[in-house]
Amino acid sequence: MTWLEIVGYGTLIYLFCYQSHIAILTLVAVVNLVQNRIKLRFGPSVRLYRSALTPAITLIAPAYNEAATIVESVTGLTLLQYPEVEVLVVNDGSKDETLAVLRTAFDLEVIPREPLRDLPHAEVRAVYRSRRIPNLTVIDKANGGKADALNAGISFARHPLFCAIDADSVLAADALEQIVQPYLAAPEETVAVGGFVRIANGSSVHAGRVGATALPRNPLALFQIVEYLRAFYLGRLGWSAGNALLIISGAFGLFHTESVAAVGGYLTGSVGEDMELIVRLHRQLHGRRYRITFIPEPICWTEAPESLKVLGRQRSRWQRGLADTLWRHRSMFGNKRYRLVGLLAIPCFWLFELLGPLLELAGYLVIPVAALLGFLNWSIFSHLLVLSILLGALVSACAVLAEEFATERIRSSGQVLTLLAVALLENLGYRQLTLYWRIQGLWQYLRGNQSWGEMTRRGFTKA
Amino acid sequence: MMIDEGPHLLLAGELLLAALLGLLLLIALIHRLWRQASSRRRAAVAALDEESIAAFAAGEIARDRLIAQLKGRLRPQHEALLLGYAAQVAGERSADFSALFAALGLVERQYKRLRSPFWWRRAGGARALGQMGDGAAVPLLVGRLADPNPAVGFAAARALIDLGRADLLASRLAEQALQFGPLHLADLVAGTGDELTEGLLQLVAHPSPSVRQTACELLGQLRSTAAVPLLGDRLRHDTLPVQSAAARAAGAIGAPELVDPLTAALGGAPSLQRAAAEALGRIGDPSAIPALAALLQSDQRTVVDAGARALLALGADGRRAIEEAVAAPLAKVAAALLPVGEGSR
Repeated sequence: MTWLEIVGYGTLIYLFCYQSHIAILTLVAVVNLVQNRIKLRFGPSVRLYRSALTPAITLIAPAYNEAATIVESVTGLTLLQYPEVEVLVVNDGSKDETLAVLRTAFDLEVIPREPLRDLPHAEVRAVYRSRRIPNLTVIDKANGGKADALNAGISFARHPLFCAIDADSVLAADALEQIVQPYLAAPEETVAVGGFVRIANGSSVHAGRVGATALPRNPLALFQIVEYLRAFYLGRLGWSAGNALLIISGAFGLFHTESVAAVGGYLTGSVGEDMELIVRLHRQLHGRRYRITFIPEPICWTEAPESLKVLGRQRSRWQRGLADTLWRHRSMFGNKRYRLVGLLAIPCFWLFELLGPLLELAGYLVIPVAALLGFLNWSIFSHLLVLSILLGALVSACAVLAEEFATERIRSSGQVLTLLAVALLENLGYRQLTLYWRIQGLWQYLRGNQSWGEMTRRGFTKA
Repeated sequence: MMIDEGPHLLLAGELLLAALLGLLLLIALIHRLWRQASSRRRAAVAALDEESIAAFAAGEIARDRLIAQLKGRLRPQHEALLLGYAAQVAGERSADFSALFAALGLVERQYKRLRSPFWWRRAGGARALGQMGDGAAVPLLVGRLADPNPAVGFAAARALIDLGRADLLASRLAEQALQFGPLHLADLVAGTGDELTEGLLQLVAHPSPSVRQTACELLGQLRSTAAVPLLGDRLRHDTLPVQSAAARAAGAIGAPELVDPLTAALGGAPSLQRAAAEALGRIGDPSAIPALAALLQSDQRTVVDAGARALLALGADGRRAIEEAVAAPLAKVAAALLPVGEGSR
């Protein structure tokens, strides 16, 4: 067998494994989704939320240079439907007027309050409470990054559960009632629950609530809608079914406060702090009965980047975070002690998420060269190309249609068709762009770049 | 050989994926059309018959007239509409609705669903029988409590509550508790008030720790004074989560009889210390002050915080205990609460 054949067969095997893992995840996710819908139909009613079983939650919202949107976001958080919730806004050394805006809008006063846990974070300058809204507290601290701000929040959290969210995100009114369900069903085992992060671009937001769902006109935001649907409905739901979820989005996740504090909180200085925490929880909780789960019902709306520059920064940061986490926890790779996490989830993330972009790039470089040199089997190549596009389209269609089956929020036929078309079109340009950013992220990681990068937000469309 | 056959295999794969994609899109299209048709039908039913159903609910038209109007053209949308109105009425009107459901053959339809091999149909049937107020279904619903699928058992339990037979459920709660789980138990309790207290009291001694824990929490929610001696037992001897749940329940009930076991629990693990301190603060017995003041010496910030909060709730003597604990390693955690008190929450 020649080297060329070895490379050819290797590529085929890799492609087969990649496609199989996607197909299996999709299948598991769809089954999980259907089961979940049926369970919900015959499950407990909303009156449960007046029950003594409902634990109090501390909402931690780190804010950095959010002066433009912070008042609306915090107002939305204080209006959530939940029996007992403390809103803890952590001003992470903002350079703009975030703190001043909060002080004025919510009539803040300084209070003496000490942290309840020893977690690493930058110096806390002052703690404020609102004279107007009793359950609103603001922590003002020196800048240290998102993980650092979250640690400060956990240190001051009074309640058994905390919900980490982005200050510029908008939670659905019933998001907390929904996300707490897995914890209520198994309080002794549930350590973390992820909710669904949806893109609000194009939809209108008023008084911290998202109104009618519409699609954005910006094509980058459209591509991201399909990406998010795929990532949450298929990826997260699929891995969650086997208790092998490796990431709960930093924009919206519920955690058992003492369990997170016991593992040392978030890793400060990390740009992939959300994934790192989940992998570390898996690592430290092995041997115990625990659940880290994702459910699609609770919804958090976020604003997706609409410029190439900002999206590029976000994607390369995600890739750096992924590389950092996988490298830190490399001993979990293939380790049967961690069950499905070590044997399947981490190897898949290494092979398909971390190294996948390199192999894809190699494909883009080798195929034209092979074609020029006459080594390319055009018949097999064209079949493989069609196969990949078809599988991609099938998976994306599953994700778009999963939303149709799983939610009450119905998109118009035009919107669904647009999303299906976007799922096909993303192969022509958008996929290659994200590939570039992911490789850029890997390169930056190898060069030791751990900066967060400015994330400019446009602000939600007002109703 | 493999290379020669490769294109054929790949082509087969492509065809399979294309077929699956087509099938998926077809299902989505049918689903959407069905949803739209269902919504249109609902609107049509509402336009044609809702006025009469509302008038019947208000007692303005006779049952026979509505039966004559609906007989022979009943659709699932009618059933949903009727159930919606039935849920809003009480007393005589409710009995009238039950008779209407029976006359329209809707009750018989639920009996058939209850015998279905599909669990979701059985669950739907059980739930509807409760909503239709069919008292004759009680024995069948009691039988369904033990359905192999917990969702059917739960639907039957809710139907029994709807039919005012929570007593039958209470006596069987011990058998059903494991099958239902904490969420469902809490829902049933939320729907009945204190009618399930008797059953919950039995659950406090259930072999499963998670059931005991849930029972303690729910008895606390119901502020059941009958539970106090049992909670004392759980506080003294049980697993940590059950002890903590018993402590929370004792605090919610405000049981002064439990001050001694709660004070003893202050020597337990941090989570129990926190729960017991909070309970002692709620009960408000000053005899707990020395034990709570001892918590201020803890090296756990959350424990000191809980102790200080409980002391603050006990008034001037508790406040003095905090002020005197200046030498404690984490005295500032407690002292931070002094000027603002509970308001800092």
